[in-house]
Amino acid sequence: MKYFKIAFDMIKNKFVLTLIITIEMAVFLILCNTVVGTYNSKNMLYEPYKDILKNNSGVVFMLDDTLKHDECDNAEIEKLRHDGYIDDEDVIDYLEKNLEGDAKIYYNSQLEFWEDDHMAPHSSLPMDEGELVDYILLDDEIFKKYRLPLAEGRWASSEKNSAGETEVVVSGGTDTKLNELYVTPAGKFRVVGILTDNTYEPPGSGYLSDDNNKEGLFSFYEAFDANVSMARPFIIADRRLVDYKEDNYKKFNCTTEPVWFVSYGSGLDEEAIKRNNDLLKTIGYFDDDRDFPTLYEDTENTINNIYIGMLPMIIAAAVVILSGLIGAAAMTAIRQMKTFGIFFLCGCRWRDCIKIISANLFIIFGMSVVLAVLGIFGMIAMNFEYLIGLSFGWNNFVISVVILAVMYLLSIILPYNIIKSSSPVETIKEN
Amino acid sequence: MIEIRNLTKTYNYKKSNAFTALKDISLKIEDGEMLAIIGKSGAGKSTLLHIIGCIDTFEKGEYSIDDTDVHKLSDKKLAEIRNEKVGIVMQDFALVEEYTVIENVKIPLYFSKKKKGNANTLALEALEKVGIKELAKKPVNKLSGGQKQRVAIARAIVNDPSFILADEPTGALDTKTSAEIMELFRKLNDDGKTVIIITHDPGVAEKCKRKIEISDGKII
Repeated sequence: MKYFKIAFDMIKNKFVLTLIITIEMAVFLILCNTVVGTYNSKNMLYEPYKDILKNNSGVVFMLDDTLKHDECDNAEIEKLRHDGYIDDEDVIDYLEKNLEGDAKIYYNSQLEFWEDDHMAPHSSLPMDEGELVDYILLDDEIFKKYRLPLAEGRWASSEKNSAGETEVVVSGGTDTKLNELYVTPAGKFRVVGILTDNTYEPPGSGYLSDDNNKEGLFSFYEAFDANVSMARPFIIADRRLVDYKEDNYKKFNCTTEPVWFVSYGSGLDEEAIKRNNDLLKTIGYFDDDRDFPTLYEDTENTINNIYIGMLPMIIAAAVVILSGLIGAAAMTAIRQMKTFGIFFLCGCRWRDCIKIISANLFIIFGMSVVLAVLGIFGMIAMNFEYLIGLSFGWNNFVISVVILAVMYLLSIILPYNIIKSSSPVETIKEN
Repeated sequence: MIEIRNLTKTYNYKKSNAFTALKDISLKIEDGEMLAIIGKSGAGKSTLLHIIGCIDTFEKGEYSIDDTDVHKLSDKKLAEIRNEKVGIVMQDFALVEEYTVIENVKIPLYFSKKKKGNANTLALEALEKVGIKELAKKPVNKLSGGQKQRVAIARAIVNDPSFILADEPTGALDTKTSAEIMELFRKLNDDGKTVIIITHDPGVAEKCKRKIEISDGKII
């Protein structure tokens, strides 16, 4: 403790220099946290899909919405029609049996209320009257793997709660509170978690009706978009828990816009893939140019490019901070040699001078962390993160602090050598 | 009591440029003495003071302070001696210029293992003894030479050591201020402190009760 007291007295007398270094380090921490946070949040958005896309062939598929009500050319599918309607689940069963390879379909959808009076919030939705909410319903396997950063609460369960309500998480940046209840004809949605931001609408949940919508569907990597930040709020729920069937859409006055991730598994040859694609084309659409391997590669590349793009900035910042820290530490050691000589005269062991320098740097390090935390809080309070499309996160902050701690340790090496190679007697004589 | 027997100090020991600064020195200083060590520049006075003050080490001979054999002590114990038994005053004052007067006086208390009281109170008491209590909060770099030396003396006595070692304490002061500083040392000696002053000034040496002279590393 005494070394901290001595170090504090030394800092007090070199306040301006200390302040400059502290601000430098705090900026670095915020920057580092932002880079790591942004990378992580985009990666988290994509994480549940990674296993589906990796090493599998397949496509992202949209069922022809007319198929549900009008006859189609595929006779086998027509056999599934009952009372004029075809249930999605029956189509999935049919495809999983008839597609070649180890076919598996992951079923995301977006619930949309198609009558005006049901488009608006029905009870306590926080939006302006008439404003829409996107109800994003994810395949349960994807939903279970999703862990997007939460500002409050927890990730929703894949089981209904004891009141029979579906647990949901809600996009950030709205006035929605935890425990609010959204009452819709398709069920009750209880808010158990609020996402840290309002911009990252999970991909694979929109409707591919034309070319303009393709990006929305495939944008694992186009996660931030200024338009998205101005888009309507969304909730995310496990699709399995929503009380909705296509054949009673009139009852609910709503419909779903499904997006299926149709995986053919691994090891299929090109001919078999083509046959699978041809079968799918009889009942819906997909983008030929964006099969699973392409999507996987594009996504990995884009996410890595985020890092690579930010890396020069973070390296430059690290070099500036590290050289600043090392320089300041070395300067402290050199400029304070006389002081250390005096401390030695007064009863300090020579080697303990390094403890004083370490304490000195540790105080600066601590102040930087506090300043960075305040800075991040300030930015969050001002919604600055949404404006620039970057993320902050406390897990990421820990990583940043660890990086800074390593820099702190590096910065002690030089003063340690300076002290070790000096003699107190010579120091006293010289000064 | 300080007792030195057949002490030899060689700089760059066992190297080609070795230089023997003290040769077979023997010296006994009783408690309560006021002793001047005189000699020309380069005679070995400061080296002797550094050894007595446990700042520097030696190769041969014996040195004990209050019956403790200094040669066998660890760095930690030597630091304790510098902190508790010895107060050191240097010609150039050896003060931290950015600190205030009281911050300088409190330095030995940072390293003190035995808590003798509130650091501020002890520092103010020491400053009162040297007559500059009112300057406590003033930055050291705003003081005159005489005032700085008083601060250095206050720092030397703040931990109530038995021995005060002063290396040319008046070397940077004018005659009047030198006399005042010497008067301060005399008072400290009257209070029971053993005062050892290194000087080349015969006038300063005259004010001490005992003188020894060093020449070429030997007591003559």
